[in-house]
Amino acid sequence: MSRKPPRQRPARKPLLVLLVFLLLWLIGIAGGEPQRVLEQAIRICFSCIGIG
Amino acid sequence: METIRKWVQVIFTLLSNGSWNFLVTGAPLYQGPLKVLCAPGLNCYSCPAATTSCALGSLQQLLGSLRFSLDSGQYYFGLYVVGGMGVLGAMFGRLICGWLCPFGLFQELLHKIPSRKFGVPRGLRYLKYGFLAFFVILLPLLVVDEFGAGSPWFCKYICPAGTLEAGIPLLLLQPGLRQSVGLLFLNKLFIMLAFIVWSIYASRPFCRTSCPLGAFYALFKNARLVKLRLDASRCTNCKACHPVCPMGVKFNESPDDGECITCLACMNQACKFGAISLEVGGVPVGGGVVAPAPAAAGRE
Repeated sequence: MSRKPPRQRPARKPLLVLLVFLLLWLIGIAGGEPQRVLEQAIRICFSCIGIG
Repeated sequence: METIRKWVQVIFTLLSNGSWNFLVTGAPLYQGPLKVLCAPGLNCYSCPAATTSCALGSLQQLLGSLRFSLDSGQYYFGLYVVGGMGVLGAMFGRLICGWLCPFGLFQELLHKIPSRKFGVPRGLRYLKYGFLAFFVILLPLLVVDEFGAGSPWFCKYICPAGTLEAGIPLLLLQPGLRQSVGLLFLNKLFIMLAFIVWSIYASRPFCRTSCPLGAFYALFKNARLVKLRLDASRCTNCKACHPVCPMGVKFNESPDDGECITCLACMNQACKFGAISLEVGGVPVGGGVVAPAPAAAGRE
């Protein structure tokens, strides 16, 4: 007698975690953080070079 | 598949460092709008060719200047950066280390230099969580100068990618900076050289011991959409997956290991029993070479 293979269920945990971080990301965008990131990234980070 | 992975690594390295205008214009950095995006892998945003920002650098800068932003009524807690890293982590986990990280590719290329090869002590893997907790989050946030500003501790004292991609090129391109070189730079130069030499003899030592970005993505080992799955009923515990893993994962013993970078080497190059497959969101999408079932293959 052949048995039906069990149906694959999509994993919920990664989706929930994804949604939580997506929410954080959107809150960050709404708070204007991307502009601050851009301001920092277009200047030389002297600390990263090791002379700051 | 290994060839495809190498090409993806090369393409992402070029995309992350695709602005070569500095050779013509002499401008020190790319300053276009793409820099608002954080690169998924470790790539210094002070590299003259960098087109994106560094998630770790941006996070440390935001945390270090948190007091200033709060004083000025702005709430920059780093949610944009952490949220972006978390979205990538929940989708891919450390697959990013294996496929998209320029510094990972650099270490893999160094490891191809013929030499005697060594492992990395297992206990050292926990060091990177310390770097993430202290050098990326707590120290920039809590240790501040008289003006209330914190430093990007990991960038400043440790990051070999910053020295390689930004420090050395900028010192070569801008002679005026050379007079500022001191002990701090020499310390970082030493760390970079140590990891370069170590990478020749051991596989991906920086990823395994010291990368805070890898540590962050490793936190998603049980909650990521794309991952490898072990079919215990097919696994013969032959341990063929052990020597091919560049991260020292014993996949048959710990299939959800936080070190797994989903390079697929175990699935494609080692397992002959089809015990390892790739799944996306819990649904299998591909597997290795499926040989006859273990019983038929002579498993006891």
